[in-house]
Amino acid sequence: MGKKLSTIWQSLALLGFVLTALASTSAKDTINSKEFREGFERGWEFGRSLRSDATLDIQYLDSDSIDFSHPDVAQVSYSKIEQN
Amino acid sequence: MKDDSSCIITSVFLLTLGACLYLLFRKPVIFTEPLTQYGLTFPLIPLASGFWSDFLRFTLPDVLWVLAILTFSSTIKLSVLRILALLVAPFYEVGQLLGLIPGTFDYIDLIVYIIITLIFIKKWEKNSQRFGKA
Repeated sequence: MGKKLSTIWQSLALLGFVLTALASTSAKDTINSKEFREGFERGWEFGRSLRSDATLDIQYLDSDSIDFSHPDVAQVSYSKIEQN
Repeated sequence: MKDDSSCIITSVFLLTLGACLYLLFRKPVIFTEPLTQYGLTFPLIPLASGFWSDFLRFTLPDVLWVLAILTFSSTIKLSVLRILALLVAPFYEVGQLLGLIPGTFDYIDLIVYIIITLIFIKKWEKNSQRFGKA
């Protein structure tokens, strides 16, 4: 009986661990950063086709930047595109 | 029994540490939202992008989570459940790769998870008395 109880609470604890991982994802405005990046890059290539002298400046972790530095970034903001 | 208690306490401590990193360095996530509602927020500490700052923000909380699971699983006597505990983190990451679980797959996370898991397996093998009871 004791062993059964122990197994039950350990199973619940494991489930709790999984839930903590799920709860560490963004609650809102969550987008898939891979898809976002791919879309962004397609847009960027299109922009380059229009203006070959366009340059891109990505700033990190301030209010108006994309943080592309890590693939785990699910919530991204926007970038600054500079044109020469 | 005493060992089990210390494993559980360590596990909770590791989880708490990881949660603190989320509160300090990451944008709001599901588990920080209730805290925000009660005004329990910390100002987000901005970090310039770089290997170590990215490690601190993105990899370390996950590493602490895996360490917490594996430390907790040291208390599990049932071998099936312990194997399940070992597989949680790698499967979670692969689930992200397959789009089954929210979040983005990161091969660095997966490699780190596998290394940590292997270290724990070695540790358990050394501690054969405990492992043998499983």
